[in-house]
Amino acid sequence: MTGESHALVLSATGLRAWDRCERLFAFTYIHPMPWPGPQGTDPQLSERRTSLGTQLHHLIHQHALGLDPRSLARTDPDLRRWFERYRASAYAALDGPVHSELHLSASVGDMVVRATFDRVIQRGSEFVIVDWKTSERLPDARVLADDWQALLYPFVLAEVGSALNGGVAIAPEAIKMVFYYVEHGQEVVIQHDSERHEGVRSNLLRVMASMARSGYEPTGKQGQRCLKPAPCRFYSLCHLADMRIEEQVADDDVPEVGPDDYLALLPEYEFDDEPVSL
Amino acid sequence: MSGADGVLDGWSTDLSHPPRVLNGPPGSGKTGVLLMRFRQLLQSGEFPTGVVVWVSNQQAVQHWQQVIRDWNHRGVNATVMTFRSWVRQELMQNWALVESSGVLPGKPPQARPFFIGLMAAQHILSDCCAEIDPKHDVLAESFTAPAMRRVQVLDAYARVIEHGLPYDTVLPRLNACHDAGPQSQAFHVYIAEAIAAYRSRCMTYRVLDHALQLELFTLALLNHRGYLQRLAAHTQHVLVDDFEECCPVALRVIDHVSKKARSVLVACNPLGGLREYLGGDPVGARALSQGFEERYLMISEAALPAASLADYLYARAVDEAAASVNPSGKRSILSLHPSCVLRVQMFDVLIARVRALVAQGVPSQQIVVIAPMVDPLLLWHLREGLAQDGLPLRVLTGTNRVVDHRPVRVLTTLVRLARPQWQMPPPEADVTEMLETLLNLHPLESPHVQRGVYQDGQLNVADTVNWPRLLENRRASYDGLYGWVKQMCESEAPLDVLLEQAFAQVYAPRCLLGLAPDGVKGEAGSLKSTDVAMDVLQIDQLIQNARTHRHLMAALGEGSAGDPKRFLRSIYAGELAERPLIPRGSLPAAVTLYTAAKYAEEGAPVAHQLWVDVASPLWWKSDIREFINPRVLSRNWDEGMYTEDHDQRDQALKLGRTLRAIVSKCRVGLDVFASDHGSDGAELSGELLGWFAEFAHATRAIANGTATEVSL
Repeated sequence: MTGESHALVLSATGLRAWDRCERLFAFTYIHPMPWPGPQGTDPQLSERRTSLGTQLHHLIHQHALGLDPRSLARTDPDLRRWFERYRASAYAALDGPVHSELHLSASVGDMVVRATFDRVIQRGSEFVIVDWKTSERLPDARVLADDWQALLYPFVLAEVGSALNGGVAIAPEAIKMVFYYVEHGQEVVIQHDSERHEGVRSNLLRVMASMARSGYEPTGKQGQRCLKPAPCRFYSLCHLADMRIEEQVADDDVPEVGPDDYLALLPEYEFDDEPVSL
Repeated sequence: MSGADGVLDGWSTDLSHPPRVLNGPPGSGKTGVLLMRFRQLLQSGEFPTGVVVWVSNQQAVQHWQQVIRDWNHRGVNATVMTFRSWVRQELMQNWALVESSGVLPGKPPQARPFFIGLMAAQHILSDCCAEIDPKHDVLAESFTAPAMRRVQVLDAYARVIEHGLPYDTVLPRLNACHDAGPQSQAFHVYIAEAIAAYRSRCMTYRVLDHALQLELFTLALLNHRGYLQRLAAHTQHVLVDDFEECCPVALRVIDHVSKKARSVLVACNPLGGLREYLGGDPVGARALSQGFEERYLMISEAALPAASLADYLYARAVDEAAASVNPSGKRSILSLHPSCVLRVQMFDVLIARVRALVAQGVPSQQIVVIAPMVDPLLLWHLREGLAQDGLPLRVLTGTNRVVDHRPVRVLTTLVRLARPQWQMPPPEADVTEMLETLLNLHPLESPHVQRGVYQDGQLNVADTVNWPRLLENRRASYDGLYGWVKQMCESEAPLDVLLEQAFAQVYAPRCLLGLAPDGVKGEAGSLKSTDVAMDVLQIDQLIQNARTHRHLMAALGEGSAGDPKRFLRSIYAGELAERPLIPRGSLPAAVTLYTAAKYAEEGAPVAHQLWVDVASPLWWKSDIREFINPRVLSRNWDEGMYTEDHDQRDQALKLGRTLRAIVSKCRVGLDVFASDHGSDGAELSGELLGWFAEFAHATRAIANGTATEVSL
């Protein structure tokens, strides 16, 4: 039943990795390579933010399930503030069809693209995809519109979301994507449409074609994509050769040595005078 | 043609209550039927999130996900998980409900629980036991090491919870099954106190191991009407592979869901799988599955390649008079190699056989070596013998100490040097090894350098050392190393981050040159890089464990940095020391060495199985433990005292089921190796070799000079 060739399953994170560096992508998705490396410029700070982000998503999901997690949100001031911002937002209401933590995948050529929706809200014929963001900085809306997440999520919903719409396909024009920044209580809205939808499909096919041709050479440049916005986890693996050169000693530097030099290295043994009987 | 073909013929999407049950021995195609059913549901337009799939272990999860991926089905994203993972998911999603249920101690609620595994559980329990131990002087007379005591305590707790019993039933049950001598009673009181202290601490801090998850799920969610309504409403179809017959909690969930779900299909093994035996409650397992009996769907056993041998060995082990040989005609081969006089000779024959198989083009992942117990001699011979052909050995047993890996020792030495304030200077031998590794020194050279540069637990600047002329070319390299250690002395990074930096900045550039940049392509055929990959996996696992330890300490309110010294100590002597840090996921190329029990429980089917030490009596193992008796902690134990007769019966049953489970996973060939004497020179008298010989004789085997081959 299991075929030899496996369909590649990609998320927005995977597609971003591809854009950043083909080798990073290969080490992560094609030939997964465990490679311990410091994460980010301040690992503990980024760890805390990630942890709080995960907790917020859990609390919001619990709220969507009909539970009241307000008491749980009190454990951390950031979490409490974020959760209150969420509660005050226009997307916290649970009246009408609301789907939380929804996983959908769609096929494009030989590739499967996957999206995990924080929330999908149906308002009449309109579908709103909401993604909760905990980052401190508000991004440029134009830059965000070209991000793979903003492209992929509406695409996947239009492709395979019919089950949410009584078996009827959802038109791209009926979908909008909202990034809600809980730190600021602000949102960035991106409208999907047919032209954009076909553009995403073309982009995915183009990526797929370049993956097929790729030799997975590094496409990031040291000091740019390798180190910014945060150092790549595989930096030390990719740059092993460079790092070695810094410490290598040229053959010319090796001193001429004689037998005495070797003898000098021998440990000094002490022998018992008396033989040991066995 | 599979025995499973046609089982689903005529099925519609909806299957009314009660659940349908698939029966068939291991390898008969039950999983295939479940996968077909899943596909059938999706093709009929069912939404994947409404289909819940439970499988028995993580390997099965990966198998399902891979098959689903291969279908490339639009929109497919199935929820495939083990029952335990599903319980964890339900707890996470409904944590607000759990917090408000009143089951947990009255501390401030937390946003989410912290889930832990066995090692972290041992770690917490050892703290709890520190207060209890002095009260029980009798423990000093115990034959069981403290670490093993803690495992037994946790095991006792897990067992009663799995069987749906209150945790405080442990003490009366243990007392009832043993003679009530003072030492025995003191042991049992100790266990009960340890469980109570552990449970209280974990519940207070919301730090949950498997047993606590199951207990909280039962107490807080399975008794909550709103939760049950939501569960039933959202679950349209349930597919269960390898149902844990002895778990009443799982059965309760299935029973509840099946009243509203449109279909429930459960795969079982009518003769009882290994899981049922390990649960120790065959009576309960049979009783629990009785409700399903009317809906059995049998799968033909003819699909199993080595069914005949599997059944024969099972029957011989449990001493059934009906042990008979009925060759299935399938093309799998049993090869009986002549018994060697000495055990080391057997290793040579074994290694030669592995070489021959690899030379024939058998992928190394399709070869497993199975032993009743893995001892250092077997490990060393196999590792060294295979290394001569560039074949790495992967060991899946409990004997693969993490500090046996040189990279692990080198990294821990580096961090100890970089943290003088911990007052844990590394031993001189470890510093010598680190210098040898990182400066690429000859073993003759490294002690000399070590004596020069390492004093009072610290490294010295190269300038202050009488540096040998021969090693002048290593001086710059040493300077780099010294500079890194000094730089890190000023950093406040936690242990896991420090280990990451030591790996990425020191170890990798100095020791792994050549892995990149061509590591992406063709590493499947490159044995050198596979070997390196195993080291890197091990280091990665070590770092993950250090990180989990730090997070655990924070969850227990012991500070965000945790106690790195305690973690370091524990990998040399403690919870982590005797347990392998087995990396998850498959490796490109490696022969795997399993203990029989491990392979029976977790091993995937392979082409070739090589059984060693088949004449050893170690295949029979008593389950009587000094502290607990797993049988009497099961749900339906009503036999009073646990006697030697019970133990012998259980040993035979366990062996029978283990042998059957292992043979069932053999696809092409099974080789049997034995020696007349053990490593200590004693003559071996285990009966298993004789059973193989009987089987071969009964099938009119033809000897070909080197081994006896039998078509099964």
